[in-house]
Amino acid sequence: MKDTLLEIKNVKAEVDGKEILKGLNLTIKRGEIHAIMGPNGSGKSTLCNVIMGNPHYKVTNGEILFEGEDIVKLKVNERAKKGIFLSFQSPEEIPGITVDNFIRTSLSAVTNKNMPMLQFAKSMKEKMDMLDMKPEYRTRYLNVGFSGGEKKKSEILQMAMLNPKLVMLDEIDSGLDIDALRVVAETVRKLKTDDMSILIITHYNRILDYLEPDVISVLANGRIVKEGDKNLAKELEKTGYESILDEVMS
Amino acid sequence: MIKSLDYNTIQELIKSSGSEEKELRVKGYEVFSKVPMPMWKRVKLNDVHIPYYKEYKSAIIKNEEQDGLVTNFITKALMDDDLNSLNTALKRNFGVDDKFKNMVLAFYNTGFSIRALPNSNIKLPIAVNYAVNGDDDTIIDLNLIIAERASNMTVMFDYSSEKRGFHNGLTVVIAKDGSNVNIVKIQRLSDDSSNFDNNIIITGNDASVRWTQVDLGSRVDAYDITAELEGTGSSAYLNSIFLGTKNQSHDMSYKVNHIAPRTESNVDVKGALKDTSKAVFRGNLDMKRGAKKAKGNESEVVLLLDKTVRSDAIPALWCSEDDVQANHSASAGQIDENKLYYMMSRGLSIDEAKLLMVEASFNPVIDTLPSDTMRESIRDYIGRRISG
Ligand SMILES: Nc1ncnc2c1ncn2[C@@H]1O[C@H](COP(=O)(O)OP(=O)(O)OP(=O)(O)O)[C@@H](O)[C@H]1O
Ligand SMILES: [Mg+2]
Repeated sequence: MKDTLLEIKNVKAEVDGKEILKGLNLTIKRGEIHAIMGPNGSGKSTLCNVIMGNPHYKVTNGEILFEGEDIVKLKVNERAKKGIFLSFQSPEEIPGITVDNFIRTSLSAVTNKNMPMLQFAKSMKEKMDMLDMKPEYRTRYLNVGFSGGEKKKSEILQMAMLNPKLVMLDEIDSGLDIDALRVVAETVRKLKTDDMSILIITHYNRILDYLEPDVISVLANGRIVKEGDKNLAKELEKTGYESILDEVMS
Repeated sequence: MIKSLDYNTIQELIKSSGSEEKELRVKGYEVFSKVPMPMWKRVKLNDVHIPYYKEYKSAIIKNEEQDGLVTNFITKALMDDDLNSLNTALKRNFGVDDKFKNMVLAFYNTGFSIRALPNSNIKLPIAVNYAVNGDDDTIIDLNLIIAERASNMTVMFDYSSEKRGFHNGLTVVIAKDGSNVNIVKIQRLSDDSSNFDNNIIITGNDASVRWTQVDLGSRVDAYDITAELEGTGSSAYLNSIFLGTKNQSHDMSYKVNHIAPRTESNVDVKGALKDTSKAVFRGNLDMKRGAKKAKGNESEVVLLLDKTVRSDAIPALWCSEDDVQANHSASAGQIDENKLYYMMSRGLSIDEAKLLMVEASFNPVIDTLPSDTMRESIRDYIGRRISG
């Protein structure tokens, strides 16, 4: 049996006084690919933010266990150091800081050591080649003036360099053209080790063809309302969320 | 030898000195003794200890032996030429305040005169270091920099200390026709020191002065840079970064007087304030009658790293001439919470994230400093101050 990497127990969370997660339970095993689907506004991005520790979101109930330790009180950077990574639905632009500088700084923050220059350059080149990113992006300011798709690639480049244990991909497939989606999804698949778990938030099946999920959960109205295998996605595509919601409610 | 800043001390100082020095000190003392200590609203002077007169022997100059360059310790001998140049400059209105400006003229205890001869190209940057060193903790420096016709030079001043010191200086830069002068001033005195600095630039035709001010240290800090653009087609580019941490206060004043036609100026100030530090930026842009086709620009951007800091910008724009362009902009703001969250999600602590944003703002200025080791040590220093 594979061990549990992340266990969320009855978590309630609010933003600006409004409760968004309403007693959510979720378990992710080490090495597992876990997809979460669900209607707009159901709380998927909120869940990612709560796991990452965004101070804007307040956890009012429950536990978030990462490798058995409750991380609810940990700061965002402390969670990153434990190996949690979030690929943002809308990544921030950081003017004045180059991609290179930012990733080097992150890497030394997360690993507590400096990677030698040459090794860093080699590793960056390798990953950027995989992502089909031009080398000149290394000297551009992070995400500034990047297209939607380029920003998503920049997120995966960071993930590739930081080598986390839990990767949350919040709609990594939105804004990517068909070729870019394939490149990104295949890169993630190549980078995925047996120790890495992936949480994919998506509205579409296509990415799941490249990154086959072990489990699919449906999030609606702040709770996980259904769990299944990869066939659940196909089913949802046919029936939409309504039938599930009806089923749960009744 | 510790003495009060009084007439007896002046008498002793000029006992064996030449007539030029006597004239300067006595005139300076006349004003110094009449003018009261200034009362400043924004930067309180209560924490300033007004020093005794003391000798200062720790000044160091490097790269002073180059073709076309003449340098002198101003305290050894004040030349006739130097006095004339000083007097030209002293007719102008400049400086932090009359009390402090004249304190230097009366009681200067160190300083250099640095002259680039006509058409000379001084390749290596001339480095002047004033450090607080043991008992040498009172730096009252008078510096005279003269770039003769069509000469080029870079002069870098570094004021530093590990322990409490007092600095009050006066620097005159005269850039004659067609000359190019680069001035760098780095101020990293300890956070219980006092710093005052009075600076004036006078330009001849087509002369250009670039001034980089790296203002990081001291508990109380006040400086003024005044540029008198007298020569047609002359220019002054003043770039500055400042950092406030703990209870530091910085009072910065920039005055640019566009006197001649087609003169150009740019004042670009970038700052960061942390803890309970304060800063006030005064920017005066004066387009005098006759300064046709002159262009002046001033901008200040301050990063507020904590809610407890205070930042004021007091811009003033005067136009007595129609045919000019003049702009001013000032902005101060906190780092966006979403950006902080994003950076922290990549493992950076909140201070590391703030430091990165400060570096992003300061790097364009730090990158222009004329030495690798200087760039590195400034970056380290800023890093320690923000993380500490
Ligand atoms: N910062 C915020 N302030 C106010 N309301 C918020 C905030 N963040 C999220 N919400 C609200 O919480 C609810 C859940 O939002 P969330 O972004 O988690 O949904 P989602 O499932 O990711 O939706 P989508 O599929 O559209 O990305 C929405 O109603 C949203 O308006
Ligand atoms: Mg979302």
